[in-house]
Amino acid sequence: MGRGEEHLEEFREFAADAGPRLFRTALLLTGGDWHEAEDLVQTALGKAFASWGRVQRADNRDAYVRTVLVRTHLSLRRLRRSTERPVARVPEGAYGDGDPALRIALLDALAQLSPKDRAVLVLRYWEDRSVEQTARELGVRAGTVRNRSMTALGRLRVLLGGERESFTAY
Amino acid sequence: MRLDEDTLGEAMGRAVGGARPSAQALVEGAARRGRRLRTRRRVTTGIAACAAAGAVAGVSVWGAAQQADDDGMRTPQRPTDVMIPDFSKAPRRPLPLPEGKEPLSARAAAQIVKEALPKGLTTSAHRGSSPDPKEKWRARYPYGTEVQLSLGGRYAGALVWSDFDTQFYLRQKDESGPHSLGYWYSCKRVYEMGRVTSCRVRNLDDGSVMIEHTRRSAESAKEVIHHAETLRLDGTRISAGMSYREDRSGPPLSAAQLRRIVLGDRWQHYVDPGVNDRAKSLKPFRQRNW
Repeated sequence: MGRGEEHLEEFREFAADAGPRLFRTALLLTGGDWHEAEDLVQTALGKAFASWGRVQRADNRDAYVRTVLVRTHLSLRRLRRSTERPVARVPEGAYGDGDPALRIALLDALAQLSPKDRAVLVLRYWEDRSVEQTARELGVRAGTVRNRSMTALGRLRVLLGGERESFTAY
Repeated sequence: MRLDEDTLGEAMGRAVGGARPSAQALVEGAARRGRRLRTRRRVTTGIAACAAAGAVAGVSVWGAAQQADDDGMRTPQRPTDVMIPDFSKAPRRPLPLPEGKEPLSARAAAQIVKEALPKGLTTSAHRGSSPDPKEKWRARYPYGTEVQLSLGGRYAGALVWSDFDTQFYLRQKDESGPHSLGYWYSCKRVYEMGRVTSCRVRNLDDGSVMIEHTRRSAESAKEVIHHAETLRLDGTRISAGMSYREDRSGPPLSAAQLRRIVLGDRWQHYVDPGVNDRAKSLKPFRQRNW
């Protein structure tokens, strides 16, 4: 097996392992747009593939690619949901278990936040990153993350209105 | 209990934890994009200049074609604003299912598209998505289907797809910002997607909105994507698109043919059961439920 093939195998293994988790992050970042999330993950992993040597040298490959994912999302934030889907126009996967009512309401509320606010909330509370880590990944100051996080959470509460009680009933 | 820092992560987990994308599609799509990205990084400026020249030529050809088969609706080839119909009195909830009717199935939607294709154009595969009818709570939300048809014969590899969304105005989150219908139906938004070679938007005679644009795919400069979309006065959005590689074939449909798909009067939320039954003959068909 040549070096190129070895890299490809290694990449496939990494992508198959990290892909679903990255996809869920992307789904939150895009406010629940399945196609855009799929597109985003493919783009981020595609960038990782094109610079596989650099990814291999990273201390934490997952964190490296997640940073690529978040930054790609922010740089393409004006794309929103496009009706052209050159790769997969019909979802290849589907929602399995989970809470459909919560999913609809929470993703809809997230979609109404700005992409940066969404990114802050997703990194802080879904990816469980510290303020400092979030700041590094987004290329902003820690104070900005704290402020955004607080205001975005407040706005989310308002957007969810009375429904939020049922989300936290467990 | 309040939605706070401690519970948001858990709520997010419950919201998307069940999402199961196709890992294979992600990996293959990523590898394909990665290869192209690597290749693009290696190309010389000269090749890039050639590609740019090709893109300009493509705009001229498609632009001329759009003007030529315009069905008498001529508008300038530049971004313009349109008048969005007034949906302030439109229902905020889906209309109840009329007795003896059914929601248009994804397969029936695919059938509509197939039957609107020009004579002689064959299809080799059909796919579609629609809400899972077993999940009754979905009836509280606007209805939608999306379908994709793979073309056969000399257009093998080309795709035609269509989206159907009821009460699209409910997507509007603000009056004039990036979540407004005015922004959605503007060439400004389209140009922001990048690689756009033409765009035009206008009101049709009845006041409904029509937007059409052409782009080159992010994956390959040779892949061309045409898109036509209408927002009807009842708030229904119907879009149709096609993609093909211009180094393999010409466009399978003209701009007018693509437009005709979205303007067809068979696009209805609730249809006679016979419409969905007849579509069962459409094979092969792969159904996904949302």
